[in-house]
Amino acid sequence: MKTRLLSIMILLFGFLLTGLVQAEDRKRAEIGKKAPDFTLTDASGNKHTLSDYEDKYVVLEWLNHDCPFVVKHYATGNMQMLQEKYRDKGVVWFSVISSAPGKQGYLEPDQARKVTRDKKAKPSAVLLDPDGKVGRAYDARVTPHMYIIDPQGTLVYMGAIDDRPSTNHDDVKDARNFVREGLNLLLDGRDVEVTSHQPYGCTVKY
Amino acid sequence: MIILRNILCAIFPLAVWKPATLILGMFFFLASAVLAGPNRVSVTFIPEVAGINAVDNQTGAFWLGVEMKIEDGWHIYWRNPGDSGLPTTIRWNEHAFLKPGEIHWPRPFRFDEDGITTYGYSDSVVLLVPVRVSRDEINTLFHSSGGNGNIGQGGSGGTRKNPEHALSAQINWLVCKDICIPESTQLSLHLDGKGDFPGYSESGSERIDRSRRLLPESVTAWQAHGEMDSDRFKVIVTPETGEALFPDADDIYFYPHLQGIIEHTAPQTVVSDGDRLILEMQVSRYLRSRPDELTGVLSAGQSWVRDRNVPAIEISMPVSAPTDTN
Repeated sequence: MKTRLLSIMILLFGFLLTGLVQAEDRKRAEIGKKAPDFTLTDASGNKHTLSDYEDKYVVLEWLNHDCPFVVKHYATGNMQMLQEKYRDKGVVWFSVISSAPGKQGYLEPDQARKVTRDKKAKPSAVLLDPDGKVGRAYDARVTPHMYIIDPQGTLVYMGAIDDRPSTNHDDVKDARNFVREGLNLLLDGRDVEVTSHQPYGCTVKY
Repeated sequence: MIILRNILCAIFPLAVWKPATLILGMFFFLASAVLAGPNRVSVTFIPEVAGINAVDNQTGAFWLGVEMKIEDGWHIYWRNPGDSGLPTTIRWNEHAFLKPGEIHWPRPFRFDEDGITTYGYSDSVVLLVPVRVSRDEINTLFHSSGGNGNIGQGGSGGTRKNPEHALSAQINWLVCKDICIPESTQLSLHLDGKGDFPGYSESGSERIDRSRRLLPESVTAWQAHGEMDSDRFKVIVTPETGEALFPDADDIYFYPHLQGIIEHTAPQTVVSDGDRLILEMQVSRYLRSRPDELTGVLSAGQSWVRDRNVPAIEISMPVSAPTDTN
């Protein structure tokens, strides 16, 4: 009797889990669909809700400054250049940190502010996602993992920053940068050509 | 110490071998060593044979093992690293008569961590590189010019090693635990005046043998084809000859050679359907269109063929839209 009850419970739990996983799936980021909405607090304590930025292009950049793939783009000044260039054109650029507390790459707000200053990074804000909810909703796997959302809130690009999966700093200058390319097309009133590309980098430490 | 001396010898010819240069050299050497820090992976070249004269005449090639010993808790990557990481790469310096080919990768292992799946190796692995010995080149280099047939007797030095005769390479890899560190090293396979490899050892040769048995094999006993719709990808394997052996379905796993084909994190299901095996997996959300062909490694807990231990087979398959019969 006991075992039967137990197996029924396990079965029910299984169904519940399947249901949850499916619900989770539906919320996930998909090209051409509405990007999952979120509210996150930045390193200065301000709250940002994605849907408040409708009418603007939004870039999401998953960030971990100790990751050598990220270092490639910051040590060469590539990421800062992109952030500054497109913010000047009215694009909102969020760097998102999804490392869990105690995991590598996790930063307290003051640490995040300091490293942003030290690296001369120029995002609109550094968003803190310590419980990884937003990272999971976007299925951000690596740093840097990049997303572009259009003014209607539709996801129009997801994936790698460029076509050179390497930690070699020399690769930055000749790489085909999908974020730059996508934003240029969008700001020119055209559609993104490459809407997704296999991302590369270090794993996000959820 | 020998390595240090060789490096210094290479930098400073004997004629200017003065204490000041020695100190300067030591300083630069130590400074670079300190800056680089100790690697988490130590790498050595291990030749399969004792020297170029021991190379099989039929194949004209031997295996060079790149033995990578990985610190506890860290791992390095396979040719398809999975969701993150980078495969190990080798950049060879041109050599007169030793012609290295592509890396042959022993069967990989799967690492699941933080909802991310990667493919690679922990503990240790011996990557295998076939090296072709170009006899024509040896002949033109050493015999036609009236030499005595010995190689390595460069210039006036007598028994001194001529650095040109070492096959050298830069090896780059990414090693990860919770963090990832790009590391690299310079390695040389030295040859002496008789064309022998001083680095050869019987135990090294045995480790190469062991690693060769871990290479996925193309077998005629099985045939595979792929079927793909928008979100499911099926690998259907059919026995072709009586050699085919059915491994335990629970341990079968498909490692695609390329990233961005399947969702590495999603579970793969394996079912037996008559005498076929059907593996079902989720298509990567980064795959934009159906590939015509797909290659990868089918790994199992037991052998795929009779009388031999082949736990991993290499498959190359055409991919079509699903047919109704499945």
